[in-house]
Amino acid sequence: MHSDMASAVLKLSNITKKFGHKTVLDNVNLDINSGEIFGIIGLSGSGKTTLLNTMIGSLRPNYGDVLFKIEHLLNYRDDKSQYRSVYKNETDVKKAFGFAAQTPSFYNKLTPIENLRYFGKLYELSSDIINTNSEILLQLMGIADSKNLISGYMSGGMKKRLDIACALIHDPKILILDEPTSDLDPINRKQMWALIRQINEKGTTIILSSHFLDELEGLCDRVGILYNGQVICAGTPNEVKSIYTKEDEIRLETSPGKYQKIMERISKESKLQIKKMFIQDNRLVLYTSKPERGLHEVLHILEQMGELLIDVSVNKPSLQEVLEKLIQGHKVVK
Amino acid sequence: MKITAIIKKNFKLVLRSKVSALILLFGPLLIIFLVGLAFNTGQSLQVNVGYYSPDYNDLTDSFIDLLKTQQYSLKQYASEAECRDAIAGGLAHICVIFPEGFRIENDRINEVRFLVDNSKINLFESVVDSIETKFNIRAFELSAGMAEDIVARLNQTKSEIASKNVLFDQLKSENKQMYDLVRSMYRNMSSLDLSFSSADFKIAELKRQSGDISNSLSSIRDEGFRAVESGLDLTDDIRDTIKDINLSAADRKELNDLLTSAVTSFNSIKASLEDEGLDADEKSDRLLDLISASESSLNKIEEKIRKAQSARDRVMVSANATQKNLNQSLVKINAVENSFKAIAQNLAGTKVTDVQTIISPIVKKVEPIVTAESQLNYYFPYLIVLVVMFIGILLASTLSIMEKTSNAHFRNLITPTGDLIFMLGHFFTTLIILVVQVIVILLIYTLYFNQELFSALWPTSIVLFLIMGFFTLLGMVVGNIFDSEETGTLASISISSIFLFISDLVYPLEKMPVYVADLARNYNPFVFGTDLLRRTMVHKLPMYTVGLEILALLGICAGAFLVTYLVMKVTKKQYLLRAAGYMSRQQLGRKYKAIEDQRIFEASRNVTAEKAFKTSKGTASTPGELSVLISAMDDMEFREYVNNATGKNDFAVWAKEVLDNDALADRLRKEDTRKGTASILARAQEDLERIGRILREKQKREQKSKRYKAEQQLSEVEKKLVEKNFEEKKPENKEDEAVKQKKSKS
Repeated sequence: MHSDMASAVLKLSNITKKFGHKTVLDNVNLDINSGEIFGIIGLSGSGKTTLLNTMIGSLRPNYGDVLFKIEHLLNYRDDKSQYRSVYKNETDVKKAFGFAAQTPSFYNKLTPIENLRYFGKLYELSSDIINTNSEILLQLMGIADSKNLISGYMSGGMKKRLDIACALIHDPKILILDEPTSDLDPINRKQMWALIRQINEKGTTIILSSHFLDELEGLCDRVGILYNGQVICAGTPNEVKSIYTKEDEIRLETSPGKYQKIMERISKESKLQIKKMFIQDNRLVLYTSKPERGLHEVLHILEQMGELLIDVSVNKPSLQEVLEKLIQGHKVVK
Repeated sequence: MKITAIIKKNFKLVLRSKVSALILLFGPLLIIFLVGLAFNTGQSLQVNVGYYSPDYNDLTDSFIDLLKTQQYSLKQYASEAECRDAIAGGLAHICVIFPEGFRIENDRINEVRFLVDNSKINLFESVVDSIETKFNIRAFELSAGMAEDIVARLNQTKSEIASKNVLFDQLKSENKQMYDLVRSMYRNMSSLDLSFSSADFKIAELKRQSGDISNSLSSIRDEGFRAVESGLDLTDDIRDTIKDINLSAADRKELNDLLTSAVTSFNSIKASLEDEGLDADEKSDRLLDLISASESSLNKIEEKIRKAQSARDRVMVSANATQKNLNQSLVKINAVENSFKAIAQNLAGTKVTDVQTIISPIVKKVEPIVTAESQLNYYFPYLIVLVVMFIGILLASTLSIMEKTSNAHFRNLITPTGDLIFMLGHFFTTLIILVVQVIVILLIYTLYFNQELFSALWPTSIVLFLIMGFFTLLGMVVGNIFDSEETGTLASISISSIFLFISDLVYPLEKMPVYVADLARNYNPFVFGTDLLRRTMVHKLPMYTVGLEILALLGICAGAFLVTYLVMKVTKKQYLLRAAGYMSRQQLGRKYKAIEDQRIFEASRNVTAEKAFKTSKGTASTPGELSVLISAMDDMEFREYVNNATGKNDFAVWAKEVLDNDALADRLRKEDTRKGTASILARAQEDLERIGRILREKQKREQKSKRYKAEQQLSEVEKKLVEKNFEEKKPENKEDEAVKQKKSKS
């Protein structure tokens, strides 16, 4: 979905958050546009969760403010251009935002439908709306068949989806997802990204954080990289990648997947200067400035080796690569 | 409504756990049944009594016989030690030890000892009371017997004294009489003239006169003879004359008779005179003899009188003394009389002579102000408050902790629902459960155990409701403070136990130190609640009499509500911080220490040959090796590396730059002795080894989970491949081969 670039629905302005002597967020400035999927990337302990919690008003920053503007929440007296602080409009914020934390947050002993009905009540929705929304969400999440199953017995993927459903029960304008695909297997992760896209297509602005940088690339309209409490870079994935590398990334998945031997063959036979090759997530990753030729050569080698190509993609270097480089560039020397 | 939704949700959560549901449903039933069965009795204490006596006699047996009732199970033991062991072993509640030679005697103290296990706080006093009561009865009987005896003797003494009072008068009068007699005797004695002189008797004169008398008598005799002769002559003359006179025969005869008679008389007189003359001579002789005898007798009498005089004197002295003695005796008699009077007065002054009254001047009668057929009535307020307290605190704390530790808690906090709503939701959830349980208990109490309650229903209900509310809030505070169910449960049980033990259910408050008892009465909600409930349920006091207390309880509940809300607010803040990944300073410290340790460990493993510390004794790549080298070198060489005067310390520099260990470098900089430096380095080496072990274990754990994740991923990829190949209808041989290869690879 294309984001409305001119209309930021959420503005983080000079956000600084300290816990004791440790500064977790350091002067963060970020705008989230309406209708976009914004990804927050960072290492563990970089402050992603803190940032997300600050956005919904759970944590109050030491300095700065988080401003939001959601038109349907405004009444006729409010200035439509006026942004409001999330800390001074908690009730509106809670109605407007949905949040799915890293750990699914619902009652394991209730069924999905009971969870949805319960949280719907907490959002002061009428029973009709709750029932309608519940049905829609259960269908959307693909867990309608398990609506009367005790939630604790569901699989990890189903739990995540239920968690998101609970976050969406009140039809929020902004959905914040904290690592929505952690602890999911690859297939479930893919399903989750597809779901997130579907939700976004309905108009919900989504802010998410993830470790799976390669997946964020294909999903997010924009990403922001958080390092040591600072947003060191923000933009579309390509914009971010372009800042740090000119090479393209070829990702291959083959069967039986003797990647080591493939790499040896490539090193020997390829006429291209393939600067970097490594195995990541059961895929072979290659960097080259001439991706078409590189791909041609690699496929040829694969055919010769009897490797069956399962999946291939050509991209700019992954966000992971970019992140590593960015971090190296920003590492604080003692 | 949100509160309703929260309550419904809580009930679902609680009832979804079968165990919880069972406990909630059947818990109160079980409690009231067990408790009711245990306490629904008016039976008195059943006691196992052991006894021992070195010797048995009627008196011992009489005591033992008293205990042969249904209430007591008696057993004789062969020794005191055996009996004591029986108590310790729980076979007996009390041992009665009779003394040797148990009998009632003067100057004999019969100490009957009761051995009890006073560690059984609830029981031992009742047991002792029970046995003591029985023994007191028997002792009372014995005392009554002895008292009766004493009273009888006293009465006897009184009557004896009363009867003998007369004797005192008699004694006194006799004493007086004797005194008078003696006095009279004294007087008589003193007036007794015992002066005597035989000369006064003029014996010589007597003799002379006796002679004269004798001469006189002779002359008289002679005269008499002459008279008689004259008379006779006269008579003869007369006769002759008569003859001559002319008389009548009768007159002559008469005259003749007369003359005859006269002659006879004169003859008789003559004879008499002769006799008498002789006699007189004899008599005169005898008289002289007599006078002589009298003289000697008089002399004897004089002697005797002299003796009598001295005797009289002695008697007088004795009489004097006797008078004095009699006086003294009188005084003593008076004294004894007075004593007797005093004794009689004392005895008369004894107001109580009735044996029963002496033995037991006060008759105690315990009148309960409430009557009940079973002990359940008395214990029920305690029991119900106990149930409410434990269940209320435990349930509320458990629910709070369950909610707090539940994954859903975070989502609850980000909904537009106030904290107060959540608090009320949990509060009413617990309260409803408690109310249901209490209703069940009360129903069983009234219907099954036939106890009356309805007359005090309203005040009881209000009090119970407030008590439930308070303990629920307290449980919520506990639940909000503690983070795990285990600690919450422990805290709940601890708090409830404190309330229970500092109350008078286990041990009377009146026996505790005053400050503890005051604290309990004023601040222990268990005490406060049971007291109030007792007044409404047992004493059935009307509402207005307990109105102030109810208001106070309401105030306490309001305060507890406020405290709960504040605690919730504070803990919510902390929860959100944790949810955001915030760690406490301590946790942060630990985290950074772990990172620091890992960094140091890795640095120590990457010491190349160029970076190793070189000495004349060798090179060292680790702190341990350097420690060995330092120990081997001499002080002179050591001083080449360390000189605090100039600030040189090559070891510290090496630690900082090569080992990347600032802390070690600082410690080395402060040390300037060889041994100290070696020791610091040796310890640093131990730390590194320890860190290495920890890191290896962590790595193993991570690898294990990574392996699992990799296997999961592999199986998913496999699955995907199979599906994909199936869809593309690839030749099976190649698929099988691929799958097989993948499997062999794994």
